[in-house]
Amino acid sequence: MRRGLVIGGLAVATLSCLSRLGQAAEVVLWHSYRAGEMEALDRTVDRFRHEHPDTKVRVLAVPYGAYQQKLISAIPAGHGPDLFIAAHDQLGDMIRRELIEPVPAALASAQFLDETLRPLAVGAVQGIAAGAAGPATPGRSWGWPMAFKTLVLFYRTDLVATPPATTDGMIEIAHALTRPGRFGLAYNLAEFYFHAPWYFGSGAELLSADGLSARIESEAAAASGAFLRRLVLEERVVPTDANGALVTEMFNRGQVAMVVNGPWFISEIDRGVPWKIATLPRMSASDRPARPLLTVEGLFVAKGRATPETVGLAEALVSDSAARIRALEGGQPVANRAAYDDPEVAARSVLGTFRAQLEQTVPMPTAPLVALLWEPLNEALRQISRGALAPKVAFAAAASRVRVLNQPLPESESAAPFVLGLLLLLCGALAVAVWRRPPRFVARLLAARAAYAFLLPTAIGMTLLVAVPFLMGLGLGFFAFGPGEVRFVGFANFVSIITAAEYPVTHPLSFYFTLVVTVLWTVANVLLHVGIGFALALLLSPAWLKGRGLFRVLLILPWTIPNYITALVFKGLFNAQFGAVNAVLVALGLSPVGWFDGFWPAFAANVVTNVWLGFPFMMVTLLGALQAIPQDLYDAARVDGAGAWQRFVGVTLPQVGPALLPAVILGTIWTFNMFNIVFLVSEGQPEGSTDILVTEAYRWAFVRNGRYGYAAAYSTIIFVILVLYSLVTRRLVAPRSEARV
Amino acid sequence: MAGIELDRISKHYGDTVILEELSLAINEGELVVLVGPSGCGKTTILRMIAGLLEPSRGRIRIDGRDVTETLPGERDIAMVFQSYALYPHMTVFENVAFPLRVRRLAPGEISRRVNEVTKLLGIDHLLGRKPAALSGGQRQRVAMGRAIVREPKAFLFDEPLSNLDAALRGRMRGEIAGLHRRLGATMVYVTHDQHEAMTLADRLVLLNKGKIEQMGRPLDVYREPKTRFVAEFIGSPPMNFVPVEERAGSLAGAGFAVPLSAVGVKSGVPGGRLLLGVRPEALKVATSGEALPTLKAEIDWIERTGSDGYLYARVGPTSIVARLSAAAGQGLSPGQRVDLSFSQARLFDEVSGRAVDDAGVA
Ligand SMILES: Nc1ncnc2c1ncn2[C@@H]1O[C@H](COP(=O)(O)OP(=O)(O)OP(=O)(O)O)[C@@H](O)[C@H]1O
Ligand SMILES: [Mg+2]
Repeated sequence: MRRGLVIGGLAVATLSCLSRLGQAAEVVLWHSYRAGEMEALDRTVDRFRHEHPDTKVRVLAVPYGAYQQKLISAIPAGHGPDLFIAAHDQLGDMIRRELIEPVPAALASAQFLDETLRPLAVGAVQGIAAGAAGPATPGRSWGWPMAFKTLVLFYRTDLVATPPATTDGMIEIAHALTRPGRFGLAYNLAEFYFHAPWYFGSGAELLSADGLSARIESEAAAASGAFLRRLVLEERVVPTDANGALVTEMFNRGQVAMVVNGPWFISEIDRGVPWKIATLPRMSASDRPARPLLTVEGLFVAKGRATPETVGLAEALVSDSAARIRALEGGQPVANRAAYDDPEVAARSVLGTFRAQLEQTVPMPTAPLVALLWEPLNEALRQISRGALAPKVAFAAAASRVRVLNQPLPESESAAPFVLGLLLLLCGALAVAVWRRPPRFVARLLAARAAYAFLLPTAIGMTLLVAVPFLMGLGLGFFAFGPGEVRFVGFANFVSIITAAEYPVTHPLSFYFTLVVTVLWTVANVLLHVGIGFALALLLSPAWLKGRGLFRVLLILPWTIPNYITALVFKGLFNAQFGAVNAVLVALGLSPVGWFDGFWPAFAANVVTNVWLGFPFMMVTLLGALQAIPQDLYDAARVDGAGAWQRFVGVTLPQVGPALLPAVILGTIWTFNMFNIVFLVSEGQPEGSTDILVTEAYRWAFVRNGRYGYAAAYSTIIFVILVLYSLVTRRLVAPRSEARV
Repeated sequence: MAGIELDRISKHYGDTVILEELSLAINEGELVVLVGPSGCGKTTILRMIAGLLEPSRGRIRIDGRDVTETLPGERDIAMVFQSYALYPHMTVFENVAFPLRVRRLAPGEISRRVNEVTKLLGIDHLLGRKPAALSGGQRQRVAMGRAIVREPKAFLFDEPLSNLDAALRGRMRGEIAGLHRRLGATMVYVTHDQHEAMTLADRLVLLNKGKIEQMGRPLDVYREPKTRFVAEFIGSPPMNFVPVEERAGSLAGAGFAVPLSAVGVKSGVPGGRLLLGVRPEALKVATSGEALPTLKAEIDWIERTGSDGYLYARVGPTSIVARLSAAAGQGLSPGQRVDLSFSQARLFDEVSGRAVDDAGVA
């Protein structure tokens, strides 16, 4: 037996060595391109294979959504790529995690456009301690620039003859084209990325030069806000509720004449739509060009993989001739100077325009702090375009929110007392268990070992899938995560949440505000679920009702549709400008409602969606319970003289109670944690006020600079609340044997 | 108290006819028992009186007032269900008080009447319990209490005792009879059980396939069944039927002949196939020199229950049963031939099933 194990182990070790040997001659390339860009890249790789038959190249297209995470986990584990393509804004993170190393040889920098080189230069990455970033060596680069992405102005040539040179000109054209059902200009107002051209064009900036503090509260920022306000509220040439997909649809249908968008938009334009692009106009107020954010796609060498073959492949992929292929076949705005001198590329006015726009761009910041800015900035833009706050006030509010979110991590604490306490607790529990063990415990355990052997697989599965993540979640709450560091902070996260000292109780970031909203949300939903479910069950239970089977099926349908789909559909229905709900209101002569502009309408939209999803469960439960009531009881009550209401109170209610109570308790817990609806329908708007505890926990972890410890502490508190709730309600459902006949 | 009158009521479910033109008048203070085989429409009649079912045609009157369209609660009638239909979440007190509460009586009045009624039924020590904590008999009493407490114009009972064991059934039967005497109330009582029917009824109504087969005082129905169906349904074990033919003033069967006078008929007997109906308790083992008419039979076997016994025998090809007193069966054994004499008999027409009596075919 033991010898078998040893041999097996040796075999595995040998095999893995062999496979490593096999890999040595191979260069692995990862990217997340799709469609045309992918095909063009593959062609350049094929060319390389043809010219270097002795170097094996393996190309892996990784889905975009999981790309960054895969790189982070695969490269340190040794089964990642040798070369990979990534956007430069991830550089800070990649350097900190030591995923990459600078380009080994000096770059032939004259080959590339300066603007694409700059963000990749060693030393240009903000917010990185000098040691990790390496000395700022001139001419050294973290990667080869391949292509870039930025925003330009798309316009329909059937509507716009010459693109505007200034924003005033743009507004004039837009104004002339705007009429009911059509807008002059559109872009995704909900994202700061699309506001950035006006922001930087007004002279505002995001971060200080060292990348360590935010600079979003400025006259220039307010000026960009005023411009937004003018577009949306004063001139009314931009729709306020058009998100990405809707902008595309409107452009294709001719319902919008100009669109601010990036190169990816090209593939979304329908055939037959006449369009062109132009560089963004000059800002009339500041007399500076509008400056969108720039992302450079670089080719990076994974840490420790800088072999000659790897560098050889990299240089082939970024060569001028390869760039030409990518530009012509993939439609990519490439980083090579020479590509734009090529007559065929020059004939593509699109690429030329992107190149021209490139000169007026702001590289996407790489400092970690920038991740904290988006949520507050988006919120500020939403407030301005709703007219709720003056631009200046809105940016000030955003800045203060950033300050709150960017608080220094709690003081590090010694873990020793906690570890000791935990050990003592464990020992205590063990002692109690030993002391109170049933008689002949060990003997009985041994006697039943066959039974335990059967339980073992499930027990292992439960431990791995339930217990371990749960305990890790609990433990995580005692740590704080900062950029590149983790520290043990004891109860600091819990204390911060419970005392809510940093914000007033009425602030949406306050735990108590969110708790009240969550309770309100739960109560409103469960009441409506039960009310509507009960009413429908009563309607559908009489035996004489024709076609009740059909009605039952129809009414159960909402339940059978995945809830995120329903959530997205309802989000569309509640869209302020294009949604069906407002269309009906207007048709009835009422004024449309900005559903996500105020707390109550947004809350109502969430509740309506969740009621739609939740009433069938109660209806089905109650239908079952109603059908189990003996007809005799109703007959007896009728003979006794009870009217319909008295029969309902005297017979129906007490009879369905035992079935209803567990359903209500279960429904309460589901609703309390109903992440999907809140996250997708109101998205917490306005200002995060409609967020419930779970979505708030999510935001702390994934929107607000990765405060995983804080989020874990939040989850633990949610867990404790629900445990308390079920302890209380368990008494209510405890079997009351008397009540049964 | 009030009389109930069913005036040519019919009940159909689609094409299925359950009752056809049934008329029945129940007098004030009378206890009428409806008996009949399963599915003959007893419950249907009761539910129509209560107002839980609407007749397809015909009128129902209570106390002379037409209530055909009146709601059950307004007919002032109480019903006791076979399942008792007690409200499971209510205590005994609340169950009994329910009809009074529905009528919004004063709380003092309610508890006075509930206490009175529960004392009468001997369940006053159970007032705080819920039905699940009661025995079958106790539940039965609570159901009765709930009916009595409102002092209704009439009571309807739908097989109220069928869920009880034999001993308890006997006792409850006695109690219902006593209750009827004491309250003097109009009662309609449905049962399967002929014993209950015989002992309780002022008047027995025998139903078959939605029609009244015969009605009358229980003993009259027992003695003078008008049809073979009634004769078989009432009496246990059922009446024996032996094929006979009329031959010159006497009835001849397999190996025997009896005079027409033995069945109380003088003349005018129709020809064709007849049946001689003799109740098991009318048969006796004949002693020699007996004056009574006799049948010649061969014994199959004898069953003794202690107090009495049954003798199973064949007359020709026909099986019959005779009830024996404890002493009478001594010395008999299977295979033996005996003469069985009878004191009373009835003649039926085999084809129509109707009794043949003085007036010819009834
Ligand atoms: N809703 C209905 N639809 C069709 N037929 C019905 C319906 N309810 C009752 N019946 C029929 O009516 C007939 C009489 O039913 P009823 O319940 O009155 O019988 P019953 O004499 O009370 O029988 P039991 O002694 O078994 O209680 C039965 O044949 C039954 O099948
Ligand atoms: Mg019945």
